[in-house]
Amino acid sequence: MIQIKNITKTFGKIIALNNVSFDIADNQILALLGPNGAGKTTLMRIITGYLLQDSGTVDIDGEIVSPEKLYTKQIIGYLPENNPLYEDMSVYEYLTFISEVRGVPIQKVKQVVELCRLKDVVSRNIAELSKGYRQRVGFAAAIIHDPKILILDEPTAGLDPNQAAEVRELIKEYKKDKTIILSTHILPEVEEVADRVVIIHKGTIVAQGSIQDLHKLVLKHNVIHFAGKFNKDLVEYLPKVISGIYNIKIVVQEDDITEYEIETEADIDIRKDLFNLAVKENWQIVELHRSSVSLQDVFRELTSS
Amino acid sequence: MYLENLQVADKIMKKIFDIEKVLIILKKELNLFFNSPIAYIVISIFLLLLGFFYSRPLFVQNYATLRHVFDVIPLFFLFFIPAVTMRLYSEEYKSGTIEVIFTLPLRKSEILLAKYLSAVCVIFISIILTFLYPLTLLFFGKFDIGQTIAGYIGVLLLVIFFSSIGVFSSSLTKNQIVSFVISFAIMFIFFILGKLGIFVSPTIAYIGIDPHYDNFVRGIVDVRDIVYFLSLTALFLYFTYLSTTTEK
Repeated sequence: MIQIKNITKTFGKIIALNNVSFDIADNQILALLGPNGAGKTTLMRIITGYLLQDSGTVDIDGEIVSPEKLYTKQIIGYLPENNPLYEDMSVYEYLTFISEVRGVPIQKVKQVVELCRLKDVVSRNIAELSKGYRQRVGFAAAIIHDPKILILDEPTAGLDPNQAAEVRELIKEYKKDKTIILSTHILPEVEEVADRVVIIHKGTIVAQGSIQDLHKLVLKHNVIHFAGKFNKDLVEYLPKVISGIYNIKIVVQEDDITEYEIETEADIDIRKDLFNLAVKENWQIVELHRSSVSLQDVFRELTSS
Repeated sequence: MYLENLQVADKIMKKIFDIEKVLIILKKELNLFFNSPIAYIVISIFLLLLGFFYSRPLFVQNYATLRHVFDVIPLFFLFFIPAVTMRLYSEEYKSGTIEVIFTLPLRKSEILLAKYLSAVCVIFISIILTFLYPLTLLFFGKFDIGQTIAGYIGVLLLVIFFSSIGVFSSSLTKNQIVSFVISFAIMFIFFILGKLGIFVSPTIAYIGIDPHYDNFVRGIVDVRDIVYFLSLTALFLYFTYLSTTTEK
């Protein structure tokens, strides 16, 4: 259990984080979302004990995090933004160094090399590796001591779609009974892996919850697309027979097919009523669906300004 | 009982710093240093120049002494030591690996000590290579072995002191050139103060290295001089510790 309480952090006059509080339950994958400069990296650096906050506390299993305390650093695995590595070392030397510092047996190096599929490059210098391989080296170093908490700062940034998919696979392989905090810009990625989302904007939390919760937040009304061959003008007719509609308009009209867009209250679903009505009136329906809001719309709605 | 006490002492020691961790980081630092060609270039240039100052009086003036070598060493160190120490922290700030090492379960004091020792080790290795000079002198004739040993003690203390200035400068900036210039400037102040004996008061001149270093070169090992070098070293290492615990 990680408890983040009233964290404030400023860099000179810039407020990077402003009174941020939230909890992360065990074995949860939490995604931190937000535009560049929102404070995601700063927050992760505070959780790992790299930066010291101006006020507030981070509490991991009852231990307060601070840069000079070693306990929390032992149970955290961290992949920093841009994945900094010792360029002049070989993959093997680097992972051996990390394993020695972490005090884990040297066999673990072999295991993570296997798990992260680094066998082909293990004796090469890190400077010579492609971005995808480098990312796997960083990931291997972060998980070498089987950390309870894994913190990944933009693990797929700058990778091509195949490499990004590989990193996502690694995260999924690893996620069993682990707490993972990751930040990313790639929204489908969040929908694929995250249990919970926290959206940060200008140093404050603008929304948090499951992906469904966030959808509801932005979804002020349902939009239903309804198309078919009708014998009357639905703009006039529908609101009289079905309640809860507050806007209806024609979107497309081609030949004898008319497509309507119907807006209703968020908590009302009128699709069944529409179907029953169509049966009763003998309408030929070609389309009846509710358009959903994507996480991208949520993100833009909450963080554009 | 004795064993238990030993274990308790060991635990307390580990709370301050863990020597095993220091050795692990030291190994990494030396590994990184010798993996880059700059190390070999810097050490070669240092040895070549010093060799010139050793062999010229020997062959031209027929002096079987290391005096001249010891006299130019502080001047050489002004360039050589910053070149070795400039990357210690600066490179980690620049490449971002500082975030890796500061989020590993390591104390900042352990990292500092290992980095500092790695610089001292590299310079000690180059100094040990110059032991060849007194050995060759043995072929040419008599020379004062005691004085030479005292001179080397002075050199080693100077390495210890200047390296602490180097590691401090490196902790101030992510730019290696800036780090080089800062450590050169600080070392130069200590270098020149001792040479200004006639212009400034003796107290101020005493802050410089010359009044202390010259004693060793003349063959005098004085505890006061050892205390001078070691206390200034401790001071600069403490400054470095403070500088790495605040953000850049």
